[in-house]
Amino acid sequence: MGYDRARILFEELGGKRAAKLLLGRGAAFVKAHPRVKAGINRLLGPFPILRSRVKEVVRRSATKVSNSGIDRLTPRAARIYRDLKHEMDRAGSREG
Amino acid sequence: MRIVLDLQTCQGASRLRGIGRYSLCLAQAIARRAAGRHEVKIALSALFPDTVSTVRRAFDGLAERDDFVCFHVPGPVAEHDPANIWRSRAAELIREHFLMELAPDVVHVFSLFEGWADDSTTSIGALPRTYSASVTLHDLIPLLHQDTYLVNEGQRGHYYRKLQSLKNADVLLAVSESSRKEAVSALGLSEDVLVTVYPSADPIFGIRSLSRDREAALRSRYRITRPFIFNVGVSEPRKNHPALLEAYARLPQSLRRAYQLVIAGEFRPSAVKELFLLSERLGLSDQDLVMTGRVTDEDLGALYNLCELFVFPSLHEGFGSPILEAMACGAAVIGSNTTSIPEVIGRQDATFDPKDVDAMANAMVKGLTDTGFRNSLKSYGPLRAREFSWDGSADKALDAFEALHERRSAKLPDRRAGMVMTPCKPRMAFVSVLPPEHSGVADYSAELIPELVRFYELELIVDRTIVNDPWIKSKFPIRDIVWFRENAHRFDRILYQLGNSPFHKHIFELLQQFPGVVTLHDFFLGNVLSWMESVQFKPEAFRQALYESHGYRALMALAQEGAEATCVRYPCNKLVLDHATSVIVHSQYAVDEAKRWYGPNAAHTWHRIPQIRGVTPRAGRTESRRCLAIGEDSFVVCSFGFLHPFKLNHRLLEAWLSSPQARDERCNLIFVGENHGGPYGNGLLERIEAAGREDRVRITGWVSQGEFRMYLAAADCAVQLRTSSRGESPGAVLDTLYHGLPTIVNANGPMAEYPDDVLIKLSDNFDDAELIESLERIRRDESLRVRLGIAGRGYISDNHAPMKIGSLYRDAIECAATGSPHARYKGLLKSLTRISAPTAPSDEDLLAVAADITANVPRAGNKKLLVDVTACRNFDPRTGIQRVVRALTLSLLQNPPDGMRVEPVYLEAGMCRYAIDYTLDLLGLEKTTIEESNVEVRPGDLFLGLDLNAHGMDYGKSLLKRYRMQGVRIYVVVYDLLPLTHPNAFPPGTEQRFRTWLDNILDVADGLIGISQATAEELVETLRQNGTSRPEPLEIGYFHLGANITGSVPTMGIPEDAISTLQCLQKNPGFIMVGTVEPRKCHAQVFGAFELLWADGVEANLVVVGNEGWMVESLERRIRQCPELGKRLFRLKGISDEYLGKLYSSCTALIAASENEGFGLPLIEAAQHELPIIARDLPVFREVAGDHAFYFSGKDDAALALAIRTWLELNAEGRAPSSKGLPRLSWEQSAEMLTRVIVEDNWYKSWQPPTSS
Repeated sequence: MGYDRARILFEELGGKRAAKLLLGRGAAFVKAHPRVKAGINRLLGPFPILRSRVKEVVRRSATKVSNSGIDRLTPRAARIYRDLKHEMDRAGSREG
Repeated sequence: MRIVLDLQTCQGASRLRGIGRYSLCLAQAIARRAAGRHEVKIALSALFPDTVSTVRRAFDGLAERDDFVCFHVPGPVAEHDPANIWRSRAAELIREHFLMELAPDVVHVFSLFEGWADDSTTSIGALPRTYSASVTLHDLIPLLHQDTYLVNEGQRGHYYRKLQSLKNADVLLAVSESSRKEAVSALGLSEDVLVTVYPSADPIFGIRSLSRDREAALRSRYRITRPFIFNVGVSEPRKNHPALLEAYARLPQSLRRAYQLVIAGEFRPSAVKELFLLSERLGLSDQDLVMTGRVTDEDLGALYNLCELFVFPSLHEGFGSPILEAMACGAAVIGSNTTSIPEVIGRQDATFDPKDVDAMANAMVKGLTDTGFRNSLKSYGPLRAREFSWDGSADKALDAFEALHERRSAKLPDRRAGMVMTPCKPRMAFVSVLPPEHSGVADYSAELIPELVRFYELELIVDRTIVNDPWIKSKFPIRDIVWFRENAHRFDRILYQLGNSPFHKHIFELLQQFPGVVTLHDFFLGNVLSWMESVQFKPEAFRQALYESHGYRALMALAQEGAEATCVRYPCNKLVLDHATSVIVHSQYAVDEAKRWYGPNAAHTWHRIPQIRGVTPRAGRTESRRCLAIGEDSFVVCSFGFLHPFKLNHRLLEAWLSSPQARDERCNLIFVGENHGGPYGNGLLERIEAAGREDRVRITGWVSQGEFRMYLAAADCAVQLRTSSRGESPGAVLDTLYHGLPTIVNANGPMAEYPDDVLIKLSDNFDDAELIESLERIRRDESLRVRLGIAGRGYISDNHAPMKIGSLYRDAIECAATGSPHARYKGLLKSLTRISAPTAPSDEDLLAVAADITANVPRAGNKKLLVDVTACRNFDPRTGIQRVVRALTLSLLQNPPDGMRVEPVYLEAGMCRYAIDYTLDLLGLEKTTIEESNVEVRPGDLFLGLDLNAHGMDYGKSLLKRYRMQGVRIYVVVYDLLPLTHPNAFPPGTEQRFRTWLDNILDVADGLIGISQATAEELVETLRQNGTSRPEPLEIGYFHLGANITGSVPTMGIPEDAISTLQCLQKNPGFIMVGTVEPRKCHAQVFGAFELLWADGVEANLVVVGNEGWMVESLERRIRQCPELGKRLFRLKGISDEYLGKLYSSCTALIAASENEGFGLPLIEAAQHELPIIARDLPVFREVAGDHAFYFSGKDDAALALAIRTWLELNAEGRAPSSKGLPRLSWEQSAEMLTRVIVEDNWYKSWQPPTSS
């Protein structure tokens, strides 16, 4: 997630601006990807940090998004999935 | 009649075969011939996403975009792979469920025998249906030649299943008499269900004259060196190609030398090899046989036109389309005398026995050598072809559909016909409040229960188990909510009684867990929800219901107007309506309200059942008057029910006091009910006292049921007034009518629905004189009182009698149990669990099934405008684009397009979610715990790509394509095309990234909107120059941006050094540049020009506002090293909008030197501050500023320096153009302009793909 986010920022904003956002000390997700951080550091050196902005980016990045399973469904689809599973279990049809 | 045409044959493997051509031509003709008479919908499978646009285009002018519906099923489903069997069966069920929800009268399937080798899904009768099913029967060749076609066991099983489906159809459209007879004999079908509907030749086939060059090219392409005998077919034994080759070999040598045999069509390589080996064995030369392979339609038509003789020796055909195509092209045609072929040819002398090679050869000799015969065939062919027409076939098909529809309508007189009551009474959970609670719903329930007992085994579910009605207590199990939660599954039916008071607080959660029929006593439910939130019974219950039902607008209203006003304004009942299996209301008013709030289809499954009246005995008038101490000769006007401003009791009081009745000692006015506890109630008492009528005007306070009935019996007239009705049921009016009391009402809410002859109905906004006149009329006219009394009783007896209401309840509940969308959904789930397949479904399959069912059956509600704010929401980079996004989103939220709900959304990991936190921030509203769930779309929704969201588009493309197939229109705002037009002004890679983004949006969008006419023109030009593989037209529109800074949620803050900067700017003329510093904006040229001006002693300041962009390191260095920095040159980065406003006010002119722009927002902002504008002469600046700017040209520093000097001179003389009158929009107007484009289809141009131009 961190790498992806960093890449998006780079491509959306260009290297310098992305780095300004990412180099905040609170950007834990960047720290998890040392290669990205090293690359940014090499590119820019120290820049003033927009702390609140960085924190916001980190907060939003921390939102857990699953790429599979029930999280991909809309609430109604999730209900249908649960109904279906329930019916399947009741009918025992999944076993054969 | 609603006809649904399943056109998967134009999507799957058959689309390239005769079946595909037949389906398309007949469907087009049906759409054409049904226009104005029937509604035609075309169903397509979302498993063939790339074909949807192509099919849609084929119906240009015949069907609208909304006439196409895509169904979603889990894939892959091709049955040749046993691993697909479960999905295939599930897909059949899901497709049939989808079709049912379209509420068609007839569904026509163009071929059932699909889905073995591709992902087509066809079936009839997998689920119970209420529509008629029709199928085209092409042939039964596999059944009649099983040894050839059904060798594979799996394929045989597949074919037999499809045959079973075929037998479930109500009518079969056979493509020939021959096919029709085969179906009767081979399947034992009744002749009644078979109608012959002949195909015709595609209009692309006809007599054409070919140029010499074109003919030469064609012959060369296919190696045709001589005149030729022609045949079209595929590599199937029944096509009889070996016999054709043998017959050709038996032609006299002179003929063979003169004519080649050309066979067109897609053949397996092994079949081609076999034919050439046979040719060799028969002694034919390499040149004699030509196998062209698959040819285009254009070439096929040309070959038909060029051939000397067309021979069709097939052993078995359903129809034989190539025969008709060849005849339409004027070819001499001979063919077999078997199956359908003689029907098509229509001339016995042109047929031969295909199994007799000599006969075939003789026919060919005759066709080639008998000139008279050949010419007669050539002239006969086109005439014969004209006897077959698609329109004629469509008419015949429509006749068959209409007959079917009539038959079915006759069988099913109404929707209850499908309803089956089980022999023993179903078990029902009756969830309600009951007496002794002081609630109208409790009394209503007590009256209804005895009627429901006739049909159901009732158990009563109550929040408080104290019930004081002895009959109810003795007859029914009374359960609490906790028990119900654990035992709800035991019930066959659940009926909820729901009103807008805290008594019903528990029903909301129960309904979500255990859906059932809901009697909605109040359409507006805000009071109970607000109470639930305020006492923390369910935190955020009200806010959540407001958001779910009405979106951000309602949340804004809550913040601005408070809970009480919001309760009155918004119904907040969408979650209830969504979870109810059916809804019962008492009035048409509630139905109309549902349509008004949630769209025309919101109440299509609802039932309107009048309130129940007539259980309680009526009291005697004389005895009641005696008990109530009312004199026999008194004239008594009563108003029944709680006193409240909405009941207009003050209006009745004032009217009565002004009427002659106030002066007559025998007249009394009595308010029978509990007085309002607040100032309103006190005001009424004070008014009565002030009028000195305490003796004859009374408010009784709360009375028992017995006393209430006595007043009903004792009164001479009732007045029941209302204002601001929220759809609640007016029970007191029913009481007065039931007691035969002459009643006066005003036409407010449901009270407007009473017939005029049962009561006196004032206008909704009546005046006192109207009311006084009615009071007096009733008093004076005894016969009127008698007549109204009788009419009122009769009305109640006819419409509200308990037995009748009980039966209506039974009908509604059973309809919900067997024929409602919820019942069908439950049926689908049950059927899915019963699928028998070699492999069990995976979890992914079940997830896909759930997603597909959701996509197939959209929920009722207002259409949504989904505004993509991904970049803003994730990491607002604070460029101009994000400012526009914020401002427009805000304006759209505050002023949504009519009937639409605006929802900011973001794309993430291939999903689209509601951006709730972001939006609440933007609106300055309190945060909530409402989940940012995935977006569920429905047909007619709009997706607006407002943010420049390159990555979101990468990840979200497939999702947006899916949305598009669900009927969502995708529009994207294009701010500029600068990375394409000025690639050198951007960092390396930008152009490629931008091109990828553009390709992506061209792939998914229905329309693109530029932020200026110039941008829209550039878009058109870019599409023209670069082209696109897009097969569909693309709408191009434009709008202009707004300019009021406050509308864009401006940033605030003034730095400490701002004052000195602003003071410096006061001294000399100041020129300001606003925007990111990057090469395209030509800061270097402006800086150079000012260096020249400063060197020449011109006193002028230059203010450069904007962040450092890209490729400007050397310029920034020059600026930093400039001695004028801080004196006459000011470089300001990252400043707030507030500071920028002050700079605009302190400067003399704006310089807009950019080489190109999408719009040029700084020009508008400058004009807002009445700041003169010096702009480069660009079309977009001319569009924005018109005559309100001074324009310059030239790219060198000196040219600009000269222009600034000229401007300074003009300004000194007062002749410089003023920006004062520059037309500019507010963001609200900008949003309106944008919505006019995307909602009202006010497009600038429509780009057409090259093939159609």
